[in-house]
Amino acid sequence: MRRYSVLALLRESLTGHRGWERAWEDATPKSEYDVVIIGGGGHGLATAYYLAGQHGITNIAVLEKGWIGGGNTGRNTTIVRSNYLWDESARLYDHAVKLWEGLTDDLNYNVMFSQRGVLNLAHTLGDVREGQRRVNALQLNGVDSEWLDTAAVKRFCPPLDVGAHARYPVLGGTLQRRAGTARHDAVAWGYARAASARGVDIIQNCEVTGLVRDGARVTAIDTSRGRIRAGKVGMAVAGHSSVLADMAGFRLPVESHTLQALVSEPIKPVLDCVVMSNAVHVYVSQSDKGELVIGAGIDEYLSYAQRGSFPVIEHQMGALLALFPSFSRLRMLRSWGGTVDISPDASPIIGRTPIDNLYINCGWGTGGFKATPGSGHVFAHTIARGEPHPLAAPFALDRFTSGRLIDEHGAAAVAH
Amino acid sequence: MVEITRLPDATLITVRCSPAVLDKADLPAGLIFPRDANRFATVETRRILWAGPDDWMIVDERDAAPDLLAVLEEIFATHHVAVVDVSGNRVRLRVSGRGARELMNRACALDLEPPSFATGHCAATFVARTQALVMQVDDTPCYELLVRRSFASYLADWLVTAARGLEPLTGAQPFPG
Amino acid sequence: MRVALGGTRIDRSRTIHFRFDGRTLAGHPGDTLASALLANGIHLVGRSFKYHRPRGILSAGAEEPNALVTIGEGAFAEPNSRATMVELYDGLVARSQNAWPSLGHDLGAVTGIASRLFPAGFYYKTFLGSSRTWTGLYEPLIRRMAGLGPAPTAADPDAYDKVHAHCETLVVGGGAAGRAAALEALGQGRVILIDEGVATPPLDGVRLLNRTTAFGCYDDNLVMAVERVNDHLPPGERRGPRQRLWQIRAKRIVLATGAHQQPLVFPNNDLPAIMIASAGLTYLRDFGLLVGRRIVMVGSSDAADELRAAGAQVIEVAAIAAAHGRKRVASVTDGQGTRHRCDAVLMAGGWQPAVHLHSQIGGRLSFDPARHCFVPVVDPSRARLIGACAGDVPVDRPSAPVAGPNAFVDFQNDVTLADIDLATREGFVSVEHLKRYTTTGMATDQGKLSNLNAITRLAHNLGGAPGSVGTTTFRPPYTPVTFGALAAHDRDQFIDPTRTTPMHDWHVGQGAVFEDVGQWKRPRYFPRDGEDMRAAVRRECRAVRRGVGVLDASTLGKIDVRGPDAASFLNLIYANGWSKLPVGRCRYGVMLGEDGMVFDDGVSARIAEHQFLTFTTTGNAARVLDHMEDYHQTEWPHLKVWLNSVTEHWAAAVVTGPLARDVLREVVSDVDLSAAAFPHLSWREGRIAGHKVRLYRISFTGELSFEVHCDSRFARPIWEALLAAGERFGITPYGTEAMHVLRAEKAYVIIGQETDGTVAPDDLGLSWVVSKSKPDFIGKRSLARPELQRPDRKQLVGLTMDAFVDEGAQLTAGAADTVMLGHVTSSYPGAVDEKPFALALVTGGRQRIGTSLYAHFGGRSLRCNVTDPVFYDPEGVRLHG
Repeated sequence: MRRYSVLALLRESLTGHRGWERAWEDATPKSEYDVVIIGGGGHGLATAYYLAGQHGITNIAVLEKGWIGGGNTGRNTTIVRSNYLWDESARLYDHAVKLWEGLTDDLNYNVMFSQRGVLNLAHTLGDVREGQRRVNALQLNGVDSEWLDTAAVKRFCPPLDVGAHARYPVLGGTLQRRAGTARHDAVAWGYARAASARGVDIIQNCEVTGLVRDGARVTAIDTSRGRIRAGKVGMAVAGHSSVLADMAGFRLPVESHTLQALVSEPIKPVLDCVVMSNAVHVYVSQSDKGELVIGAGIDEYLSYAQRGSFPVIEHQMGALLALFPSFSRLRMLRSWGGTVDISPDASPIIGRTPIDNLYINCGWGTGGFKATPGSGHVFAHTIARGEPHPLAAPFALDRFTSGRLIDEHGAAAVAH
Repeated sequence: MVEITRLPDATLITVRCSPAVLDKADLPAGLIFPRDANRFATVETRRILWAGPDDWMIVDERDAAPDLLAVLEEIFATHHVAVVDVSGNRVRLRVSGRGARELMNRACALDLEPPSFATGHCAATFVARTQALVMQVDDTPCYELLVRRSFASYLADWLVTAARGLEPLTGAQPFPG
Repeated sequence: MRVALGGTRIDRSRTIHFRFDGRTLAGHPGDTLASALLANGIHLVGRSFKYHRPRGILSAGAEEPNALVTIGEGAFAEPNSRATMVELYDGLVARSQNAWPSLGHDLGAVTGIASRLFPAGFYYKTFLGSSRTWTGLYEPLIRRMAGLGPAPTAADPDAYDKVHAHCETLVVGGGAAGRAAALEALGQGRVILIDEGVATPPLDGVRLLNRTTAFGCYDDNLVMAVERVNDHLPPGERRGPRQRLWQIRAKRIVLATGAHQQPLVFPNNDLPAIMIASAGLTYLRDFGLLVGRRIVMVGSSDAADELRAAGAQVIEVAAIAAAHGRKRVASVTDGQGTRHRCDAVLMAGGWQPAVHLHSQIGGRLSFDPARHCFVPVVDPSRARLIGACAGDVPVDRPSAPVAGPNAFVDFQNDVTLADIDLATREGFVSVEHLKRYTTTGMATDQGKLSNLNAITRLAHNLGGAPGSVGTTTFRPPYTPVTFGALAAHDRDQFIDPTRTTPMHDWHVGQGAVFEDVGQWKRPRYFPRDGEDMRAAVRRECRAVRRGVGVLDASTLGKIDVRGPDAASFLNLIYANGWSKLPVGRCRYGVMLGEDGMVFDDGVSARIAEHQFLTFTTTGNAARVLDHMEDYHQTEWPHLKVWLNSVTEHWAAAVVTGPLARDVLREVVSDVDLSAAAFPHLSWREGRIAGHKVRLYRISFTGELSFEVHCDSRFARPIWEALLAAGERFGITPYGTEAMHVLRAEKAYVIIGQETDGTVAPDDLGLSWVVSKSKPDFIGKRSLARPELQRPDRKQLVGLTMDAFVDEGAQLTAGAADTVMLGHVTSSYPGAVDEKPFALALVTGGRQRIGTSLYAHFGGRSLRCNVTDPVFYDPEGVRLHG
């Protein structure tokens, strides 16, 4: 892998940029691999990268039915944070944030992790109570978090309307300064390039059509590009997790919904942080291109269509303008949708399945992007060792039988 | 000019039963339960609205709740029917005058043009962001809305605000036929 | 410049004036800003996003990528407006964007000179380092250079409208094909015709929406459109809403949206005065102007003769190898190598049908090699396409792209042919990767004049056909839509309904301070004589403990449950049993989710053998009814029970305190209020002020308590009668804050405060509520799960301490510990003595009573003693009074 750098850019600029190599090799599927990762999104590619880089396993394929990063990795609102309530969640998501902090260097690819701060607003006494509960827990868990009163919220985010006249006035908020945004496509491409350089086969346009089982094991994967034998299989396909689980013959307690998002036309800088509100339901940040990136709740019905209904957009707009009245004359440029898999406790499902050599990583629902490096890292460990990484262990599938749920509906900050 | 008025409270009674029961019950004249979906029947001061496949709403402007309740309980005594006084549940709003349908078209996603909706039609639907029972009571058209009491102020304010921006709509020629 | 021919849209008899970058210029009514600028010989109207290259007007329509200006001033300013779509009015003010200090001399052009350093995706390869460096150093610089227009800072002074419409046929596009289709459809019901232009004449019987863009097609034939009601008028003349959002449901949709002629790709094809050929013709026919005196026409077009007739010299060439010039095209080199001087170039590229609305809901496309464009695949189940958008465009292959420096594909985002070649080289060969990596097609024009050329080049690089490359996903909106229009009426106070009780005005009159409880406004406290909250709550609490208080409890959910199986149904819904509850009595019930966690609580009363009235918490009223209906309809449809909401039918006032009975004796008739005749947790019917009321002896304060329920229609007189009767007893209205304190002293839990979806009945000390004998109820199976059997679950306890702790404080064993054992759910000053106390959920809490913990909040910690959660009258003597 040729290293990227300013010098490399300068050198290439003198010769018409003809010397740049493919970011990742376009591999032809082999007939057998030690590990096959199904799902070429951020989580799947990160898993392959850590398997190759930290566990010495390089005979790996990542199978992607379309183009890598074409699922939720390419459709999210790019927010990265770790301000979750329960110990297990705070640790896992903050593990991810710590990896984010060094990711550009690790991958030699600028993922543009911008630690501009994420503000979660409180609009009711209940919000204040829950917000402070979360701040106190995060602080004890060693994750940066502060409580801001109304005046401090306004100082941190001047364009926000915190007036008492509002339908749900801002009563304060929690701030995580280390949190922020990252460039979603770059994460997929950066992991793909680094994984490919370590010998991982990245196979696009390869749809899984069946899983071949021999008793309690998967022996091979049928795909649109032929049958591939696998020693171990890891699934990281988000919204389509239950479809694949069905192929494998086990059940997953997830529901797939459309989650929509939209951007405005690019404008000069006006918002320097990420603002999220549960009560006035919307979250917004401004990309480095100048577009406001806006999201809110899921469409209530089950769907794999990756497009949603218009009233969801209308509701978001009212909420956005309640918080930022000055945005009223800006324009929506583009809207889209992704398919999110929601678990009963709004927490991911990571680890073993009823099938011995099949591992699952799903259920991230509306909040998977922020966890990408952490998710891939612990999933790689789990697959390599055959046992869950300690940070992943609480998120096992069997918690839905034992009852040891990790309920993060509040922290998910997205209406379910 | 569109007018939004609050009508005096009425007696409201919810009758829940299967349509088959209505065939068997001994109903006096004057108690007409519409069998067609989304229709209401008017007899003097009383309307009975089809509000769902097993759900009728009686709106009676006389202060007759105890009598009417007792009468209905008697009629349906041997059947699995719920007769529930819900008089306080809803407030009655009237939307009338020039532009009434134009205003309702801002508040409500239903097709309010005849023949889809006409005098004698009713529907349980969203009006602004609250649920309401909407009736067309005459051909002007004039609408009556039954909105949940706690939402009534909000809805009235919403309608008044939306009405302020009421301009003759583009190309608002009458449709043919 | 203006010529005698053409000008069908302008009124030459009148002159109006406008300002562009401070210069006052003249135009005619009917001009667009673009046509008026061109008529004044102005082609340089902006600078490109990345390289700050001089840019001119490329087109005459909505597909314009270059001519973005800011219209209006102050609060009315609107950045990123396409000059080709701005209707000129007298006094219009417009400013160019993305140039400093001026359009003519833009310092940003430095990036253009160094453009080799900034190919597509350069930022992924540079600015490497820690996230701190990116956030603190590189990013702020990049952000400052990004963005097109400035963001407005003032509130939007305009209002927006939204209206629903229905029709049997919706036709999008008011050109010849659309108009014919509209007339044809008249026999089949209502017809709505939408056109984004201004000049479409009306059609008899057809509802015509002019200046309206259908921007999105959604499932089940829903079309969203936005009408520009007022933007074309001077600010002083605007009346009513500025824009109107149309939500149209149609039985049938006909798309007659036309096609966009595409630019050609060659070095310096982005110079001002290089335009689309059909636009050059439009400017002549509609606006009576020539875009140049000496025009080079490249590619075949019928326009040449018309332009000559208007007085232009037209040089026709088959292909262009390169254009030359600085702030305007000055010459071109043709495919033969001959140089031609010129002051304008018209590019006759191929035509791409406008298939956006068809594609947004999954309509498929195929590539037509003869026409070199993507055409819609006919599908009778979908919208019908007619005219150019259906593929009926000239059979004409445009000249091939010419590689070289500054051969632009996406004008607004500065994406060149070289960028696409680079992307291919680096393996970004899926059309979606190409788009995201180079940003081609991601500008405000969303690729209308660039996607086809980008796909063509990608296909060429891969040795395949554009059809095999395909297109990116089409997404709404077709052109950008103002946020204010999308929010329309549902903004500010109307983003959510405000719910009020029948006594609301009385509370307002008393100066109550309100709290938002879900959508409700509930009084939090009633300050008197300048009291702060603490003083008011102290007074209110003491009144309840020592005298009598009154609370508006109308917001409580109330569900009428009746039928022969009412008790059986409730037995399945609740954790406790109902069958043996006598008529006339009430019982506290707890409702669990399937996961065994507490979902809601409340008292239910047996009104008759087969009738119950179930009370729910305020916040869960709708959710509980939905929950009940869900289970009744899907799990137990055989049960004969009817569920009806009566939340709003019954208003409720809580009269509570040692003097409560005394107050009611003054005003209630037909009820024996004595303790023997009317025990705790029973109900009676009587009258107040001539109206029927139902009284329930339910206590949430721990004092003798009567809930007075009445028909909401009469709530106000009854409320006032209670207050009048209570006056001599010092009856004190109290709010939710005092209510919270009083119930907390009794360890009465509040759903959503002591519970958060992870708390089971035994955790709250409520195992006595859970039936041991019922064969089944929601949550029963889950209660048997290992996790719910653990002895170290979090349990409700009380805390005492020397100073107040915040709700949400986290609890540890030692002051320096970080292992959290639980958190503080409720924290208040005692009702009478004002000493701090709290409720908390703590791991193995009941075993810890008598020990101490540390509460961490706001960065400090405080030692607390763990106690029994009931602080007041544990025997319940007072509420049984």
